Amino acid sequence: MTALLELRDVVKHFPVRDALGRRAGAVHAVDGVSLAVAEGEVLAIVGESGCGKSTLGRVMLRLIEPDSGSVRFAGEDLASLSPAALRARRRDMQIIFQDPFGSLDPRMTVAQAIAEPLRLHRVVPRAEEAARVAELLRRVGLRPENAGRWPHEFSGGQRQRIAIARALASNPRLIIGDEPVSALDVSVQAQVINLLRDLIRDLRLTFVLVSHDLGVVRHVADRVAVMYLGRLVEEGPAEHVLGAPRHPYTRALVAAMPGAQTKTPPLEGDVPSPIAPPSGCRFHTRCAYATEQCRAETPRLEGAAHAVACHFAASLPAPVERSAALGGGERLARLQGFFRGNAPSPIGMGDYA
Amino acid sequence: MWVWLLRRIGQVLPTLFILSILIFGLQQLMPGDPALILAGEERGDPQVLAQIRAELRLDRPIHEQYLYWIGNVLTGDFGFSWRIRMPVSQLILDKLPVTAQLAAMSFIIAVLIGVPAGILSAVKRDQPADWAANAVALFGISTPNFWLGIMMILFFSVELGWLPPSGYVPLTEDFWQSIATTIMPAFVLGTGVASVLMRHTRAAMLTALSQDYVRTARAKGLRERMVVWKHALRNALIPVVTLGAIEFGRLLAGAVLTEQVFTIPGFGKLIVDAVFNRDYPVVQGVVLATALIFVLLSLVADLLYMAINPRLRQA
Repeated sequence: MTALLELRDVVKHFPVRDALGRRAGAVHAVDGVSLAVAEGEVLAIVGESGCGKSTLGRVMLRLIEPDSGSVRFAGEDLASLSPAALRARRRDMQIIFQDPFGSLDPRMTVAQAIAEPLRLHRVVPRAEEAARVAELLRRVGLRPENAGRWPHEFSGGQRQRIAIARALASNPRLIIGDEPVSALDVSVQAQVINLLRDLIRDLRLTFVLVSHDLGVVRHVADRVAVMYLGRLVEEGPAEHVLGAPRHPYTRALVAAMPGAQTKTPPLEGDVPSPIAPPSGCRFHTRCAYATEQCRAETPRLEGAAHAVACHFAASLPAPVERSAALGGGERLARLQGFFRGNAPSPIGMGDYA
Repeated sequence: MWVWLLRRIGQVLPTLFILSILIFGLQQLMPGDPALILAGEERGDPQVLAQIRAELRLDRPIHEQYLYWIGNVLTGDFGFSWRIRMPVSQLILDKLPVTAQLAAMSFIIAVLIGVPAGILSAVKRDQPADWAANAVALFGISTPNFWLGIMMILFFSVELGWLPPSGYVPLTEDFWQSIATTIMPAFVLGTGVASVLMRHTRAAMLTALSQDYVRTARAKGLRERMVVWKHALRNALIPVVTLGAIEFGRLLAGAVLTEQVFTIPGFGKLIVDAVFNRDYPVVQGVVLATALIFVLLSLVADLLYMAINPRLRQA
């Protein structure tokens, strides 16, 4: 497998200005992130709100210009492309936003929204446009008769399906899902995750899932990258990162999943301000194992398959092994099964634990 | 849709009724006796005064006067001007085209300046173009119309001699002369409205530009120009259209000061003259006609709003 998307030392700071417009500092949204996404792989970027994961997702598509560092898509440096070439490239990379109520233009019918990229990138001849729109709608589980309707006539889950159909329209190679299900009801989440999983499998999509919900992540992701205050702290195959987390932060996140059975204490305190992130290891203010070294030296992300950025990753006590699938994840799995129609009703869920 | 329209018209009628009472009631509070003014030289003669009062039904109780007036209005008769002995409806029909022309020209100027300036300042937010547009808008809002009018007369008529300083030539008489007599007042009125439109367009555009569907449009690979025009502007204009209709209604109600400065014989001048002469039927007729125009325009605004906002279209 070759890397379809490669990020190297990407930095994005947003200037903060005072009332007089003077530069008063910067939000360190993304601070030196390197990542590679292989063709056909599903990478999840996880972390708390404000850790920079959405910014990172947008930088990947160059919807936001990074301050420094490079983003290569299919071996091509996106920064080197002319605006016209970049627009043409967008055919291959699409995004699904979190809020399905904001991401669809209220003055465009479903058909118009889906057909726009088709026309723009001349994906199909005009004559076949309607057929392609109908096919895409069917693909995401909506009836093609809905093509002429307006976005406001649909529920959140249906709108997100429309957004997915729109993202698929140009046959992209890479799709970024920026919290694609977190705005939806839990039961609808399961349906949309199923849909995404099927699409990823059937269309052999490369997918970057930006999410704070580990329950969602573990059902979709091949690999997981954990972000904290603009930096990656751990990255590796999903079963390793979620099953045997090595970084204290990841451990705390995994322990916070409903139903988790570990001895890791829950995280205390708030995330420090990204305007003035802590020195050294950014997690030291909340880490139970922090030492003088953590305050002074920034740990590097080290390790081949399963990398971690912690000075003491090797010497930390082993986390209590989690039983295979637990709590929120299990419940979600059952809901998923239910909506596939091959599992017993999720009613009476109390009896499984 | 038709049910909605009927219901909407049903709401208009009580509004107009209450308004007619207000108009009638308020002018009773105006100081000065119309009979005295009309009697002129003979104001000392009680017999003449009594005769005038009887003729104008001023000696009847107020509610009787009102019922007489409103009854006639309902049959389309707005009464006679006491002073110039002309049917009020005739006066209104004479002045309305003047004010309508002025309002239309002002509105075109306002839209041509205000909307592009609003778009520009939203797209170039926090850049010199934005600052310039905001400064001009602030100037437009805070400059009194009569002062700007006088300055324009001084510059374009007195100094340069390009345009007539006052007066009015109807469109049907001489098209270019008509434009020449109205362009300055239209500009004066238009700049004020342009500033309001600019501020609202800017705010609506900023909101639209920060929406995910605009981000989506960019991610689709659309040119920035298309993103702004096709996605952001089409959504941003929804509230601006409503505001525009209301502003147009205000222009149609006549611009008292501007019409005075340029001596344009429109609604504004008509009503000022009528008030000073205690010409009650004219005041009542003009105010009622203005209110009717306003109410109709807000109905048009609602219809436009429905036409461009798919969210309101069904049901």
